[in-house]
Amino acid sequence: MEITSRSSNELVLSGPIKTIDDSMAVRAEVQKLVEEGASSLVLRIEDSFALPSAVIGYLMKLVNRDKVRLTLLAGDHRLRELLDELQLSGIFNVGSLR
Amino acid sequence: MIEQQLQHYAAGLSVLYVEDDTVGAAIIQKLLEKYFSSVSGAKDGEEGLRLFAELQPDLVITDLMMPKLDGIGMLQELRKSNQKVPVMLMTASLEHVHLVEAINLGVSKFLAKPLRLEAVRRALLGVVRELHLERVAEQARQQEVELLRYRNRYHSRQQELARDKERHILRNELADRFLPRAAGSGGWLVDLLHLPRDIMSGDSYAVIRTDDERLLIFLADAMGHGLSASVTSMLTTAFFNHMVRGCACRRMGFAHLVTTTMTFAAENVLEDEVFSGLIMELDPRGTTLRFASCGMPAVLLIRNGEVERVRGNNPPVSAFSPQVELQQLSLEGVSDILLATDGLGDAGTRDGGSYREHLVTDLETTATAHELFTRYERACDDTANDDDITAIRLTAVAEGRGRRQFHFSAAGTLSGIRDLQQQVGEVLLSAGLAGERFDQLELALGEALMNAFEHGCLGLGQRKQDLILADEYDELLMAAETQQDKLIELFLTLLPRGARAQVWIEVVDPGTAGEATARHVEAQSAEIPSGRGFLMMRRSVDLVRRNASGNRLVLMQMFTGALQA
Repeated sequence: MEITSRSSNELVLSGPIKTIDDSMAVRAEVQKLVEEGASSLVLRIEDSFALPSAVIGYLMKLVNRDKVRLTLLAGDHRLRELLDELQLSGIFNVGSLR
Repeated sequence: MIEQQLQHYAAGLSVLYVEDDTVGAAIIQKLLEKYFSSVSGAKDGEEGLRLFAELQPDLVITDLMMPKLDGIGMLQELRKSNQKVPVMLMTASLEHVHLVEAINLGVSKFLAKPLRLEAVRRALLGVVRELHLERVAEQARQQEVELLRYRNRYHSRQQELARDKERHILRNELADRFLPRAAGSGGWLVDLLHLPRDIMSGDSYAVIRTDDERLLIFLADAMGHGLSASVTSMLTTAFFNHMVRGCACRRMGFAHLVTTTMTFAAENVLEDEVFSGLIMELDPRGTTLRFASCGMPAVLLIRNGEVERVRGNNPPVSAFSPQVELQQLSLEGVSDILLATDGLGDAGTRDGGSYREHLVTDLETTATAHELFTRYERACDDTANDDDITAIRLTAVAEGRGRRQFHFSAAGTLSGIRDLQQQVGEVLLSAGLAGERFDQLELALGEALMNAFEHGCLGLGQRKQDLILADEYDELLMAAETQQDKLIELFLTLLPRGARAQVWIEVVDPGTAGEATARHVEAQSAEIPSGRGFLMMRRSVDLVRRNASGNRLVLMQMFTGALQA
């Protein structure tokens, strides 16, 4: 997995997000943007079919407790279906990349 | 009396008369008002049509000869929109051509002019009688429809209740669990497929984990007439459940359980019915299994990569059944066992054979009940199979010929589980296993290791979400880096499976039974914090199972292509 920053509130995540290291890296990059003052975030997840539960739990905390406005754009339909099954489509403002 | 009733009925009807002669119209108006509460008049056919469309009367009386549009012409137009309203035709003379046309247009009565009051009264009562009978018949039809609707609702409700009862009786206590061996890794798991054709089917099953960690399986297929067969099957399954759960099966012994269950079935079948059933006991710590099969298809098992077919020793249970004989099988080298009702093997294939001919090969080359069903669907048109199918596939975790086993362990810390994941990844890649199935397995392994770390080592339980919200979660993980006293073990097994590769991973943590419920809650909503990890694993790999305590977790993933040396 690779993470690139597009702007002060937008990250692009390429490749599958699958390992514990991937989870830690995503959390660290997002946290950096929040600490720099981002009150809204756009995550462009280009081709991961899922998100580890550790990342999902962390994003839920950002939205519910820290009131960060999140937009999650997923390129793989399976990730959108997963978030829908978890009833997170609305909370994460899930959209399609393609 | 009848005439009074008809007059009473007529009082509720409306009538339209069409007459151009004003004297005649006045006479008719007066006459009709005696019988009908609503009487309207028109001067010619055109006005008659307009009033008919506006008032929709129950009865029409019309003169034949009128200006603008005569009685026949009006009737021709009227019938375009209304085929049923009774029409009485008044005429001084009727030519043959008019008579035929009037009959074809459904004129109910003819009234000769000049009108004679008694004749008109009789004709009116005749038409009213027909209207009355028609209405009574319509009401009866409506009541019948209503009764049918009620019966449908009643039967639907009964079926829902029966289905709920069926679900209550049928049980698989190993749906998300496995039974581990006493020491080391591995154990047995159950993968079940149940395809009933009706609510309350003849197939039934119970998979029960006993308190002393044995596996008891009951598989039934009652053959008889519709619901009667199903009732036998359900009753016997309920009896089996009661015997196991309610009567302290450990003291009772397996032979007694078999005899009492099959005797119960025999007592409850009708003289022209038979009942096929199989009861099996598997102790994951033992080296043998016991079973009694009465009229069930042969048990199929894979031993050291070869399929063995073990026929049952007993005929189906009938009202006159003899004693049941038990059988024993060695589990040495056994990796898979398939128990199935005859609906699977007897299913017709698309090429005109039976699926029994494909079953051995498909069992050998598949790893789950789902895969087996996919093969079955490829060979057979399931919509053409009217028999129920129940297949119970027992799988020995990480057993099979030509396996390669790896054992890793690491401290229960974040860096420890990252190391474990990395080591597993390296082994898999060196065995040539890559691609999306590899990514999915890595995701599931990450979830399993995080679960072992958070719950097995840190004992977070349901506090996890509170810690995340309080920003104390990350600190806790980091603080645990210095605690090296708890170990997480990982058993990795690579197996060749036909032309494919099978990977088993078992993660063992030092957690206690008390945390089992906290870590594997079946919760997947935005409001409930836990359970997502288990969902993620289930979506990512072919099989996920845990032990009763929750501190051993097994993942299985199939890969296309053979293992590299």
